[in-house]
Amino acid sequence: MPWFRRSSNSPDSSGEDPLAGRGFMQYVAEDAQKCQADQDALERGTIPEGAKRRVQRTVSGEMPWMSTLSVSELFLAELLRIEPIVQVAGSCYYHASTDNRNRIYLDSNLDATNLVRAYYQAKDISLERLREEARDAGAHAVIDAKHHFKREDTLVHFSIVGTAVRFKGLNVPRHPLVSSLSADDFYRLWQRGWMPMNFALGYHWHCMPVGYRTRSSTFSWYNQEVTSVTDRLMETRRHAMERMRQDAAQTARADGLVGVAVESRIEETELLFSRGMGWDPGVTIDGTFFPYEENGMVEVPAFNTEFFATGTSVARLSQVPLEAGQIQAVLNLSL
Amino acid sequence: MADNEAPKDLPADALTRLDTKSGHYVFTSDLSVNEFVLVDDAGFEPLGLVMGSSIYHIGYQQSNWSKNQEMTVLSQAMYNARELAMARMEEEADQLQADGIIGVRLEVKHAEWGQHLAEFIAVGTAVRAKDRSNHRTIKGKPFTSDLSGQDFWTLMRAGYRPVSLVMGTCVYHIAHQSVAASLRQMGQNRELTIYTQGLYDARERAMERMQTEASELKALGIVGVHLHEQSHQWGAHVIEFFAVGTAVVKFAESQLLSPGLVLPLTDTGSGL
Repeated sequence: MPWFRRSSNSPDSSGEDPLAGRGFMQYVAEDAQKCQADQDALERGTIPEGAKRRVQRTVSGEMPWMSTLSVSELFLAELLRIEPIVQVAGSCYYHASTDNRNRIYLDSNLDATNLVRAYYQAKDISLERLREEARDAGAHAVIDAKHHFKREDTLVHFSIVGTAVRFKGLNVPRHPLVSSLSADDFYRLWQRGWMPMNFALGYHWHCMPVGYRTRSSTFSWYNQEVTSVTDRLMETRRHAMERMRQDAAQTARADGLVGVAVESRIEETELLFSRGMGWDPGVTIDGTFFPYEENGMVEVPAFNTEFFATGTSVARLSQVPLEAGQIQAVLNLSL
Repeated sequence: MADNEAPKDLPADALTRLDTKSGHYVFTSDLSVNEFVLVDDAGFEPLGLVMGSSIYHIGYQQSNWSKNQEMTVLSQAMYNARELAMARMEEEADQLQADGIIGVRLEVKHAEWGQHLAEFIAVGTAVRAKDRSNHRTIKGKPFTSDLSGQDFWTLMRAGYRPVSLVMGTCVYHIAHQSVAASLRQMGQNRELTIYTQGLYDARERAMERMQTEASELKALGIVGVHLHEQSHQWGAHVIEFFAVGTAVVKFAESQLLSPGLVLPLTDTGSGL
């Protein structure tokens, strides 16, 4: 017995087509010119046509609004006189400088400055695009912003998607506030006199070459801490968190960070030293001598230490639940 | 379709399972106890677990190595297969004379036993208004929603009701860079706008399709939108953007009271 009574050649298949009455979007072929125009728009620091159109059609009421908020948050938002307008997004692929064999350069401290910069650039550019959509929508803030970082070798990808909202009864600020917190979290913070301020990133990448002394301890049979690597990871963390603090404070006041997620990673790698202009016979790494080979290069075993943190900065405005005027003042002040 | 007419597309086994007049019919559902009680409180009764599935062969499309383009064959396949699964689930709900389906889960599994084969499943619980008021969509279909029982209750209390699960999908090929461009950019810190543009285009298409579906049903808005970015089995440069959410309309004034501040003392965080 056939499971579904709709085989392509049976005569009674003329019955009910389950897809009947469903309108499909017509698939339009890409227009090379349009692609180029969108790319140019991105180069100019603005956003592609499609994104502008979606925001504009949603704000004008031609299309239904959409929001990443869950139902309970939506209700809470209504109570807080927050009105969802449209879903907004920002993305960026950023490439960190490499040599012809896809290796990255380190600076004199053996930090991967270019890679760190790529992370910050990808984040800053994406956030700016997100804000641009929010500004087009006449929003006060972007809440519930979910981000996503991905790195493939030296290519850093950052995407952020959130809901642009209007705070009813307040004037629209020049720079909408961006926060990964939900309406629920906003409510709780406002009730306690805190104001969410900004999305903050902390990132640092450091490469640590190791000599025989460290290597041997990782091969030995005894329990022992590999203190030099621990130290270096802590150092990396310190740099990352310091940058996170700066990142939070650069646009607005920050008294603290909440909702912080951290990730750290250590991986084994090789570090390539080159002789450069001098005539040194080689490099010495914690007591072990690595002579340069004929091409003036030497590969040294190393550990990458990487530390990554994201969060939302908050500012304490009051000891009691916030009032509309205070929120307005903060929105006007933020850069 | 008239309410008493059996859908033509369902297998006989399904019809037997969904026969409410057989004398030994009990409702099945995947609701938790909390959800069940809340659905009851919202004025609905569960009628049965309904599902639809579709095993779909996804065709092939040659992508242009250096061009940002939508893989229309694949987009269409992902769309059709999901719609088929949803439509079959709705037919089962029709058979139960349900008003709608809540807690819909839409899943894609890639079969190990066949290349380019994917299984699309839609499962949910069919419900009916106890006062027999009509909650169907303007197209006469049962409403569908991926909201849980709790969310359903809150939504109804807030004066909104779900119309339909709406979705938009776009499978997109993101261009590879030409060798010359890669060489030019090697020693620079810079944005690769060709990738960014491809990503934007794919996302906008998926979101626009979702919005269009909702607007065709005269919805007011879409809640709980999830945006999934998946690669399935097509390699790193082909991505699917899948946007899904529940379209809602406002039908009454909110009856909810202002909530109190509850900070749970149980820490749900996972850490060291």
